[in-house]
Amino acid sequence: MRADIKDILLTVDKPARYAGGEFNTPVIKADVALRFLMCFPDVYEVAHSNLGIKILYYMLNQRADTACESCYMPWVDMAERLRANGLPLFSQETQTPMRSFHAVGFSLQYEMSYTNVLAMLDLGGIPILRADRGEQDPIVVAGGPCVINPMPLTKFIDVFSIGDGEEAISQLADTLIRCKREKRSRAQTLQEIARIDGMFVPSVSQGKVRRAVIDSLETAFFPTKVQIPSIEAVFQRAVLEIFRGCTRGCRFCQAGMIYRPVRERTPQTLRKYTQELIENNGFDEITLSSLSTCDYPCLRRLLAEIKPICDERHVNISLPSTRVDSFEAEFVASGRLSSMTFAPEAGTQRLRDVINKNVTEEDILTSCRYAFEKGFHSVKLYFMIGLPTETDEDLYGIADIVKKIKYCYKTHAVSRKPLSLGVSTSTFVPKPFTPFQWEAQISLEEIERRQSLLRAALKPLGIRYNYHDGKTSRLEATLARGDERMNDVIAAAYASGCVFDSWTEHFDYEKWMAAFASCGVDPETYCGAQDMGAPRAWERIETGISREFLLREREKAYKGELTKDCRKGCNACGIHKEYPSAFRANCCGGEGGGQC
Amino acid sequence: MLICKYSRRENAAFVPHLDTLRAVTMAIRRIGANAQYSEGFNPHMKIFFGQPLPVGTESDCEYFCAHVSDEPHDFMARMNESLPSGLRITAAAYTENDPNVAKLMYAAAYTVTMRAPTPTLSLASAFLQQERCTIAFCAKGEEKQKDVKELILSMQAENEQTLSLKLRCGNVNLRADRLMASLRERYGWGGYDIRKTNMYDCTGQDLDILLFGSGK
Repeated sequence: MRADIKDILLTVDKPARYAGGEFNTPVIKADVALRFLMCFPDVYEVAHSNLGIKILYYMLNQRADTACESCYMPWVDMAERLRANGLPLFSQETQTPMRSFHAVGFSLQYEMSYTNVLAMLDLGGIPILRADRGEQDPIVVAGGPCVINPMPLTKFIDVFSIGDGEEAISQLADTLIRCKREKRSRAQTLQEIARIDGMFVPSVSQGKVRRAVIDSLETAFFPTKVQIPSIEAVFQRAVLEIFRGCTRGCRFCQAGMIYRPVRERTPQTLRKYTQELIENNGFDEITLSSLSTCDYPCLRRLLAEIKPICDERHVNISLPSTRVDSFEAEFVASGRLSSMTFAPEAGTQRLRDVINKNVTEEDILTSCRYAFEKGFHSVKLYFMIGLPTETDEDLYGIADIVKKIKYCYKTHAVSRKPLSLGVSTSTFVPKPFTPFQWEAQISLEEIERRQSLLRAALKPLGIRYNYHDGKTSRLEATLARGDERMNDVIAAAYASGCVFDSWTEHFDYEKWMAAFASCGVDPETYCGAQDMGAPRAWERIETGISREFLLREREKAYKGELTKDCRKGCNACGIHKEYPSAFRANCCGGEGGGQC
Repeated sequence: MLICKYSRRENAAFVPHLDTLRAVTMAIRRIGANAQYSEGFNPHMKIFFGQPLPVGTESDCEYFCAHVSDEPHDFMARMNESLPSGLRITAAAYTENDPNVAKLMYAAAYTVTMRAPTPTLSLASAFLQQERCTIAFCAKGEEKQKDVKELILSMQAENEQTLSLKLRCGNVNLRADRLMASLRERYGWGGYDIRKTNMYDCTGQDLDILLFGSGK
C-alpha cells in the first residue's frame, strides 16, 4: 500500500473500508483494452450487500480484455482527508485514481444516493456535468432500479443502462473496446452505445428507449465467488437469487412492475449455486433472494435439497418472508431464526384490497399461531401510511391487528418469554410505472399527523413503533417522479453541502428546500397529483408495462377490486407485446422457469 | 484442538479484531475443516483469539486456538490458500487445552520502521532516561496523559530508520501506536510502520518456545 494512503487511513474511522485486499478479489489484469470502475454511491458496508454490482463486476473481470475494479463513497472523514491531501478518489483494488478508468459505472438503488454520485465524481476529479467532460474523461454510466426514471440525472450521466444488466454490460464493454480500437471520439462512442438495447444516452437518444430484458435467468451469469468484505456488511450473507420479478401485482410496488416478467432459476441450478456459494465464500448464512421468495413454486423441493448441504457446514438458511399468505411457517420454525417479519402494508382489508395485497387478517393470524406454537416470540410488522384512499380507520386497523396478535400469543405461545412485537411504518411514495404513479403523496403535515395518531393508538399496547422520517419520503417522491429540471436542484443541493442524504445524521431538508427555491422549482409539482392527460417525464422509457394496464389497475384500486397473481393467469400487463420472447419463455407455464 | 500462530500485515492490519476473527472462521468454513460448534440456539464455531491488536499495527506473532480435529500442517497449508491477503498462519500444533495466550503474555517486541532516515531517532533513549515518560493520547474521545515509564521495557534506535521497542502487554498494556504518536509529535518525526515481532511471558521466554517448543 502506498505510504501516503496508509498515513491517511491511520487517521480515519473504519480504515478497512479503503484498504482493499478482500478475499475472492479476482486478479486485476494490467494490460487490457478496457478498464472499468464499478461504483456504489454509499459506504462500503452498504455496497457489499448489493448483488447487482457483484454480478456485473465478476462478468467484466471474466473477460480477457477487461479489468473491473470497485469504488465506494468514502465516509465524510475520508472525503475530507482526500481533499485536504489533494488525493483523488481511487479504486479499492489497485488504488488507481477514478479518472484513469475508461468508464465509470454507478449503481443507483435509491434516490437519496444521487448527491453521493456527484460527490464521488467530484472527488475523482471528473467534471460533474457531462457537458464539461472531455476526450480524456471516463464515460459515466448509471444502472439500477432508479434509472427507470433517468430524467433527474441527464446532465450528469453519459449513459443510462436501463433494465437487466447482464447482456447490456457485455455489449457496452464490446462497444467501448471497439470504439477505442477504431479511435472514435467521445461523441462517436456515445452514438455507438446508444444503439445498444436498453441504453439511454441523453446526448444522442431520440424518442422512447426500451428497458433491456433478458429472456432467461437460468442461463444468465451468477457469481458464486464473491468478494468478502473486510468489515461486516449490512447484510453479511451469501445471496442466492432464485427468481427475478414478481407476479403479485401490488399496486404501489415499482419493483413488482419494472422487473417483469418473472424469470426463475431451476432447483437443480440453485442447488449447484448453493454448493458453490458455501464452498467459495464461507458465510454462515444464505438467503434465498427475490421479491417474493415464498411464491417460488419449487420452494419446498429447493429447501429439501439444500438443507443437508447447508447443515453440513453450519450454514443457516434465511427466508425473507415478507408475504404472510405464503409464509412457510413450517420451515421457518425449523430454522435458527428467532424473529418473523410480516408486511401486511395496510391495516384494514378494504385498504389491502385497494393496493392488491392479497393478504387477509386470517392469513396473518394463522401464520403467527403456527410460529408461536413452534416457540417463536418475536414478530415484526411492516405497514405503509399515506396509501391512496387511506383514512384514520385504516390506521386504527393496524392497532387492531397488533391486539389480535397479542391475544394469539397469549393463547398459543409455548415460549415463556414475553412477546416482542415491533411495528414499522414507511410513508407511501408514488413511483413511476406503477398504477399509483399519478397519485398525490400526503403532505408533510399529514404524514406527521398520521404518525402521531398511530403512535397514540399503539402506545397503550406497549409495543415498539418506528417510522421513517416524513421529510425523506417527501424528497424521495420528488426525485422519483422528477423531470429534467431536477438536475439543477440536485446540483444546487450538492453545492450547498448535501451528501449522504439517506443517513439521518447528514440529511438536511432545509438545504434541499433552499436548492428547490434557488432553482425556481416547486417540489409540490412532483409530490402532488400528476396530470393523467399528458405523458409524464419518465414515460420516455418503455418498460413494457402498458399505460392502459396501469390505468385499468388504478381504476380497480379505487373500486377495491383485486387482480389475480399472474402465475394463475395472464393479466395482460403489456409484456406479451413488448417482450414476446421473454413472455413465451416465462409466463403462463412457459418453457423456462422451475417446474417441479 | 490446534494452537496457531499467524501474521497480520499490510491491508489486513486495518481490519479490526472482530472482523479478523470472522475472516478466520470464514476460512475454516471454506476449507471444510472439522470444526466444533457451541451448543444452543445459535451455535458458533469454538475458536479463541488473543488480545486485540490496534488497527494499523502489523504483527508477526498473533495466536488463536481452534477446536478443529485436522492435522496441524495440513490445516495450516489449506488455511493459507484460503485466508485473505495479509493474513497468514505461520505455525500450528496440537494442544490439549487452550494455553490462554492472553493470560500468558507479558511483553511484546516491536520494530518501528521510519519511512525516511531520521537522525533524531536516537532521542528515543533520552526520552526513556527522564524521570517520567509522559505521553498524551486520545481514548474514547477524551484527551489523556499518562506516565508510561514502567511500561517501556526497552526502546532503542538500531539505526536512523529503525527503532526497537519492548513494551508491556496483556493486563498492563502500552500500545506501541500511542507511544509512537506521542514521540512523533514531540520530535517532529515523519511517517513510520509498526510491526509486532515477538511476545514473551513474565519470565522473558518467547511464547513460541512455550507454545511450539521452538523459537522458529
